Amino acid sequence: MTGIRLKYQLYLLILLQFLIVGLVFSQSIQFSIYVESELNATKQQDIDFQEVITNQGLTPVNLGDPGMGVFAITGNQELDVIVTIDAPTNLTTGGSSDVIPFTLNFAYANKGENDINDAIMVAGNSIRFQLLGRSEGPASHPPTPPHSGYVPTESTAYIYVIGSLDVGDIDAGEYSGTVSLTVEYD
Amino acid sequence: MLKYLTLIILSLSLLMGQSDRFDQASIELNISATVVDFLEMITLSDIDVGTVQPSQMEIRLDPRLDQGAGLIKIQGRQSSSIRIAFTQQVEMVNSATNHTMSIMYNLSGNSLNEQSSSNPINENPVSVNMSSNGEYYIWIGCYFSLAGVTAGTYDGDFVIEVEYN
Repeated sequence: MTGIRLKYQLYLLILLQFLIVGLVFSQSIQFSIYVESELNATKQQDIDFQEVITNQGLTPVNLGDPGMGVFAITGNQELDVIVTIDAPTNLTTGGSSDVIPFTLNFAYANKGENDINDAIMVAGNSIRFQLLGRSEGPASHPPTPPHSGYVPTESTAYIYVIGSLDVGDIDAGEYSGTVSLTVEYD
Repeated sequence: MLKYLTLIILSLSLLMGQSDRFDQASIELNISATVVDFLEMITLSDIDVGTVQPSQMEIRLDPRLDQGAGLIKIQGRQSSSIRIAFTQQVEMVNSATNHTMSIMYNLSGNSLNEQSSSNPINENPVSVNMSSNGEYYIWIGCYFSLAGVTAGTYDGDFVIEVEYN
């Protein structure tokens, strides 16, 4: 019902524009807008290597460790998303040129739960996956676009950010860096 | 006709262009690590007061002179300044009788492994400098009175803490 009213209002608007300039044409324009589903990303937890000692060498934060970073992505469970992670190659500190080489790895869990047992490791810095993983293979029909009266069911997938530091003979202090995540519907 | 049609399409495009893009999201998280310098303590010798005779009224072990003094080696960053803190007085407990005995510790230190040239540590905590090899040595002496002490084994902890300044 709301859709019909809108259409009449649009026709009226177009008609008024032509009347204003003194011309009337019996012509209509049809258009449609595809409304994208909303997509949200939130940070659940930073990566914290806590205290490391100079010359400690390779120091990992593994999947499930307390220092593991966690993102949450919430959106239309019927759609696929592409997640891209950008991480620095070094952690830096103020007041010194010393750096700590950093290697990033990440995994995703798309079973609707924040559970590292569902996590799938990713090779590289980008991955496409179903926001809610389907256990029975490809979907039987295309996803229904959001429209009046229909709100797609949402699901949350989790991104676990892990990695390792290579701590050499460096100055003591606080070292830091920033990992950025971008997610979009495929 | 074409001009007005263009105007209408343009106005609709502008209206549509005002909406934000909800199909994409970005977020950041921080990576952090606190780097501390390497610092290690190694016990090279335990305190050895030898055999205590019943006639002795007290035991006094000089950290600079007695071979029975305990010895701890501290290893860390070269030529750095460190802070040493320790428990100067400890209550030792006889596990069989629960009698206590008070023991006083005294220390001397040196950046070289030379007990005779070590300096008495009279402050607690005290700041000292590591050697160019990143070493510092602490000798541990003690004093306790045997007056009224019952026979048996006494246990207690001597705690020493070291950190960078």
